[in-house]
This record gives sequence, C-alpha cells and structure tokens, in this order.
Amino acid sequence: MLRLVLLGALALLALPQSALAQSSPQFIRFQGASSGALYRPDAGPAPHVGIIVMHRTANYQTHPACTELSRRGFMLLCMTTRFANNEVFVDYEKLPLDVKYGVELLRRQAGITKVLLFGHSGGGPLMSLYQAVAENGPAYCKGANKLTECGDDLANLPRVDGIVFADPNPGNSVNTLRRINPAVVNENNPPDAPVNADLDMFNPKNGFNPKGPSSYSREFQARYFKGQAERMMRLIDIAQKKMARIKRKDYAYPDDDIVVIPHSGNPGAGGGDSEASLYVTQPNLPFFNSTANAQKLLRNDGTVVTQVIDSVIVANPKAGEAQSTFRGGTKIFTLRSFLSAQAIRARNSKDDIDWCSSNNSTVCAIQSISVPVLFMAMGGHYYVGDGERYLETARSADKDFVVIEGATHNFTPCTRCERTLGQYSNTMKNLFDYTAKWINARF
Amino acid sequence: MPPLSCGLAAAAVLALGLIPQPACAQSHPEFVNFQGRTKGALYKPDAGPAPHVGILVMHRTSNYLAHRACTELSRRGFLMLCMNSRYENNEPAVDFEKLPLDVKAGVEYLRRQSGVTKIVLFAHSGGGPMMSLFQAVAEKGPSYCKGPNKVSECGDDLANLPPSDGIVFADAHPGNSVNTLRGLNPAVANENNPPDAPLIPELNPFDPKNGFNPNGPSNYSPEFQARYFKAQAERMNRLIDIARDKLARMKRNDYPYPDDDILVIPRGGNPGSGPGASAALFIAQPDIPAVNSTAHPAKLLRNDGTVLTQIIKSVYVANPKLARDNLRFSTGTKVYTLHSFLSAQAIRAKDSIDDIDYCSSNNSTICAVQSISVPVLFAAMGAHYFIRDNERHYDMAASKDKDFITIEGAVHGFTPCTACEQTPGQYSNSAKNLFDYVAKWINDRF
Repeated sequence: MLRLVLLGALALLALPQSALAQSSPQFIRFQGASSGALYRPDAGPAPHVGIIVMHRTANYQTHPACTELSRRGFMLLCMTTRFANNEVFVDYEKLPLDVKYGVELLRRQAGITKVLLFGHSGGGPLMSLYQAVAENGPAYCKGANKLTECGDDLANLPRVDGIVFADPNPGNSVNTLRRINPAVVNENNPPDAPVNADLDMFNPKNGFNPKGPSSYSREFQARYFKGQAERMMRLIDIAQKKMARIKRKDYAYPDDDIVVIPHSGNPGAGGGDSEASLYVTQPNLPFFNSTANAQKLLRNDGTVVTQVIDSVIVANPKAGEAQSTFRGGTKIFTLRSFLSAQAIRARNSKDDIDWCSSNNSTVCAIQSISVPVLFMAMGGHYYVGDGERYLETARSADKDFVVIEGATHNFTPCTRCERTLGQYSNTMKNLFDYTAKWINARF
Repeated sequence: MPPLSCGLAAAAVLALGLIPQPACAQSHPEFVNFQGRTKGALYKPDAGPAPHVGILVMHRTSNYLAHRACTELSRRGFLMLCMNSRYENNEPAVDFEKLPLDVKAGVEYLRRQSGVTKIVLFAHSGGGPMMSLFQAVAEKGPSYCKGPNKVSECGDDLANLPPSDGIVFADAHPGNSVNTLRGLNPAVANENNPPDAPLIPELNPFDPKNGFNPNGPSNYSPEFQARYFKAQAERMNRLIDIARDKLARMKRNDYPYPDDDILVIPRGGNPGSGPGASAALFIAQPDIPAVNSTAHPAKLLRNDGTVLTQIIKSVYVANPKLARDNLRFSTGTKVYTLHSFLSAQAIRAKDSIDDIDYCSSNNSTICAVQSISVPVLFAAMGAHYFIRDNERHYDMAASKDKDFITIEGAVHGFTPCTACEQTPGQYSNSAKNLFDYVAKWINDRF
C-alpha cells in the first residue's frame, strides 16, 4: 500500500500540468448551452460549502469570486447560462433552471453539505428570483401584476442555504428604467427627432457639467425621474400592444419582434459607462449614493466603522458621448426579452416603482426569502443606497449589510476615487475576507 | 517516464488527500481562460501515450466547449482544445476579421503544451470559413484579407499569425456569407421591419404554384430555380447597398448614430449561428444536384466502414416546415448590425448558386482554401446539404495533400440521420466512421 502511495505521489509530480483545481478548474457541461468551471481549493481540508456564481448573460466562469473564495476553502461552481453573452434572447423566467443545474451538481459533490449562491450585479436579481421561487413555489413569479410570468417548470427548485449579494442591482428592469434617456421623444430607430430640451440631462442649462460633477435642480430631478418612468411605460405599452396584435394574428410576425431602445445604455450586460442616470453625472444624490442611516463601512485597513456612508464614486460626464452611439448607448432586445428581463412599471424611476411587476427584481424577491443573506455594496459605485434598502426590506431574520470602502462595481480599487495613492488598495481582499468569515460563522 | 494512466494519477491524488476527485482530463476537461471573453476546455486522453498532436475546435459564435470532437478525438489519442470565441452566442456582435486572433490564442496555447509538436485545426460548419481564414492569413499575411474587392477588410493586427500544420474540415460550409445569400427569401418586397408588404408571388418559395409541396419534397421548375437564385443575389446586393450607404452617411456625419446600427433581415433564416428556417430551395427540394450531389465520382465512407467511389447524392429529406418557420421572427429573421452583416454575412453575387464573387467576403471557405498549402481533409456529411460545396472546396484547394470523403447518412452534427433511413440503424456508425477516418488521416501525416 505504501509503495502504491509513493508511486502515486511520484506519478503526480510527473503530471505535465498540475491537477490542482483552484489553479486549474474543471470544465463542466450542463444540459443545453449552460456550462461551468469547478474550482476546488488547491490545499487544505475538503470543502463542505459549495458556492454558485452566475449571471444572466455575463461570463462568470472566471469571476474573481471563483479563485478568491476557493483559495479561502470553498468549492466554487462558476457558470454561464444558456443566454451567455446575449441580451437579445433572454427569457428571464427560464434562468432559475440553470441555477438549479448548478445547485444539483454541487449537492452531488462528496463532502458538500451546504450550498450558497453568490449574486454579483445582475446575479442579484437572478439568484434572488431562484431562491424566492424555491421557497415559495412558482406562485411567486406568477400573477396578474407581473409583466411576464414564469411557468410550472420552476416547481420543486432545490433551496439553497444562504445568499451572498455583492453589489447586486435592484433588478435589470430597475437599471433599465433608471438608465433610459427620457429626453428621447419617440421610439423610432435610428432616432429621427431632436431630444426634448426640458429633459436633456446633458444640457448645461439643466445643470449638466461637462468637466465635473453636475448640479441638477430638485425640479429637474423630479421631472427627469418622472420622465424616465413615462418612457418605460411607453416602451411597455408599445411592446404589449404588439404582443396583443401577435396574439390576434394581426402582426407581420406570429411570435416576436426586435426592440431597439436608443440612448439607453449599452447592448450588453451592465451599464457600459453610458447610463442616462443623474446619479452618474451628479454623484451627490444621497438617495442613490449614500446610506440614510449609520451602516457598517469596511475600511481599507480592515476595520469596520458604523456611520452614514457616501459612495466615493466620481462623476462621469462622458456618459452622454457613449450614449449617443449605437454600440455604446443603444439597447437591443425583443418584445419578449424586454418584457421579461428589462421592464418594470413605475411612476418615477427613483422611489415610486412597482417592484413586483417584474420577476427581474431583487427588491421584490428578497421579501420572499428566509435564508441568511449578506448584502455588500461597493463603496465606489452607485448601489450604496439600494444596498441599505435591501437590508431594510429583506425578510430573512439573519441579514447583514456592509459597504466595502472605495471598491468599484467589480470589487477592484477605485483608483480615480482615491485622494492618496493606494487609498483603496485592499478592496478585493477585504470583500472576500468578510464574505469568508460570514460564511464560516454560519455554515 | 512511462505514460501516466488516469487511474494511477487518481490513486496518487487520493493518496495525497489533495482533491476528492481524480483529474482524468478527457473525462474531466480543464477549463482554460483566455484574454477577454474567449475561453476553452482542454481534453487530454485518459490513457495511452502523451499526445504530440494538438487539435483546436472553435466556431464563430457557437458553443464548442463540449463539441463531439473534443471527446471523440481525445479518446483517439489527441490533445483537444475546444474553444468559444469572443462572440459566443452573439451574431450581432461579430467582427469576423478579429476572430483569427482567438484562433491564434488557441494555437499558441497548444504549442506551449509539453510534447505537442503538430497543431491541426478542426473546422466544423462555420468553423470552416473561420479556420480557413486563419490559415490563409497565417500563410499569406494580412494582404489576403484586404483589398478593394472585399466587402470588409482585416487590419494589421492579423500579422504574424502562427500557421497550423493541417486542417480537418467537417461539413464545413462555403461561408456564412454564402449561406446567408442562399437562405434569403427573395420574395420579400422591401427591407422594412416588421415586413409591411406581401411576398412577391412569382418568387415565393412556399407557394404550391411555384412547386412547393407542404407535405414532402418540393419540385421547382428550372425556370423558377434560375429566377430564384438570381433574385437571392439581387436581395443580397440590395442589403449590401443599404448597409454601405448608411456607413457612408456615418462617415460624413449625416446619420443619427456615429458608429453602427441594427440590421434586421426578415425571412432570412434564424438569428443564431445556423441557418435555421432559411429560404434555401435545396432544403425544400433535396434533389437539386447543383447542391446536394457530387459532380464527379468521389469517396463515400459507408456505414459498414468500407469506402466506395461513386457519384454521391445526399440522403437529406425535405423540410417543408420551413414555410412556417421562415415567416417567424425567432426562427426566420436575421439580426445583425451593419458591421457584423458586412463582415460575416455579406457576399457579392449575380446568382446564389454558381455566380458568386467568392473572394468579396473574408467569410469564405472557398476563397481561403485557394491560399492554403498545408494538408487538408474535407469530410462532407452525407445527409446534409454541403456535399457539392465540399467537393468544390476539394477541387479549389491549393494544398497538394488533400482528401475528400463523404460520411454516409450523417447529419450536419455527425449523428445518424434516422429520418433518412430506409432500414433502422442504416447509418448507425456515422460518428464513429467520421472520427476513425479523421484519426487515421491525422496519424498518417503527423
């Protein structure tokens, strides 16, 4: 036996490439087009906590959490969905099935007793929808108030044991609502009319500053937020009317059609630095970029202070330039993908949103989740206010909220926010240390 | 050092208590990250000698990380790198002339693997025009993909691509540009979306008056076919004109966007990577010999493993459902941008079957194989509609060492065409036959 072990050890040393899984993750094929990379710790005890990292369309197979958390002793399954790299054809209510494949795979791994979800950015609404349906059944994602409904194929999803939310957005639906430019006067493509000057956030007369932070009046802000909701409602109305015509066979296609939304953010996942969002050009809008109450701030030196927290995000006056391009500022969906993943009813884009009218809504889903949840907001981005509201809204008894000082949306140090070089150098380490500690304290 | 078996490695791993699962690479491929969105899965043989031939499998947009060749050929002793390009699952995003950079990343990765001395490209379907473009540019330099005759041109970032040692074409098509040309429904009266005019009756491929059969193979007259193929070319040229005109307006700042715009092609085939419900006549009428038969006797690899030389006809069966699906958005409508259309899907032609300006597009297998000198194997699937195209690739290829084989009864994805069978199991060995032939072809040369 000893000889076999020694022989085996020698043989291992002779492997052309190390079989260490954290450094050399294993490719996993799932049903359909979804796929994954399985990262195991290179060293240390066999993990008993498995974590899934996934996003609606972004490639999360090499997400920083995969290596950072496997290095900290967890088994990470980092996946791409059936809708990888393509917003156009997303059917949002199918995505929980891809999460399910991942949960089932992790549960089958020897030694794994707990499964968690890691919801970063658009992973937030996705993972929260999954768990809300797992806990409450498909009734959660059906109803007359929903713009689109799920099917019974979402019955019997296996529940997970907890969710780590890392700078989750409140819903892609909410992001789209808050990023569309309400100064667009009609929905023709390419745009064929000048913008409405009263609603033009890139007009200095309205408070825009092309060289630094803008300063919009309260009246303009209120008008703008209302205008965004009105444009969203107009887009919903157009899409629903076309769907109704399709249903009564009064449309050129029997199934779907393209939806092009000019001046509204990039066609891929994420904001693309082309958001028509006032809080991007004017960071000092506390509803979005600050907490209302004292909350935990994880500072760069690793200490935690409790205080009212302002994001250190710096203004991006160039958002308007990117937004006027096709590749940088135009959303491309179909009627179905728009209604399913990007639409939400609202009267204003700031604080009068019908949160549960979309299944792509973190804010709605966390009210139907009971497992432990950790909300982390990145302190150099624009979800700090949303993060605090998740904490207040979440139904879970075990919930936590922390802001990572100086981190960008992708967890790296916001160097352009720094006043001194290296001021936010530890963002990544701080975030994952905190996450690992939170997990280990519970599971 | 003796070759390492998967079982032994597993024993070592378990004995050291490092990892709970063995690392058998053919069965448990390694995930490989490349720059940007490009990614791969590396499949090593579970057993046998260490491979000296590395094979790269990739497609413009399809997910090839778990392509059948990955396991079939690693099982036969080769090191397989199966990749997804930066444009995975996204046709509107494609800039075709950037894709050789992803192939380059794969070739360089394989060359770095210890023991690998030869690199072969495996080009299935749309992998054909992409891999052949890579090799043509690697052998001739970026001048290959530039020039006033090109609908779009490459940049100098394609200089110094490392050439591969050979290419296996598995049911490669002549180019996505050619596929799009042949899939356009020319009865569309204008390019508005959604369509706002009825189909032109004398060009409607789904009208029984023109020979369409909704319940089986259609029978279009030679006159209709000629009219149709010519009109397809005219629609393609019209689309090219529209796209180029908009780009010209952008150049002189006379367009609402400065960079690009959507291009929706109703009744043009599906929005994904394959043709979907295109309006190609030879799908409704398989016995169009200019597409579905060889012109001359050629090698047919029969289901029992023997090879016959004869005129080969595809056993493809008609798909009359096209009539319905071509009129849908989700299956019959192409969604591109001006740039992705011109780069990957447009080609100049006077007729969609035999008067095509093959080198007007860089997405053109037929153009590229004329500038490639390494050994090439063309394997056509005997139950699909690229048989004549592959014969043409073979005839046109500049390589001295070239081979052409048709796999009897195989569908485009290599599996048996059960719908084509006259007796059950008639084509049961199609995938095995293909990969055995490919393995032998590689082993004989490298």
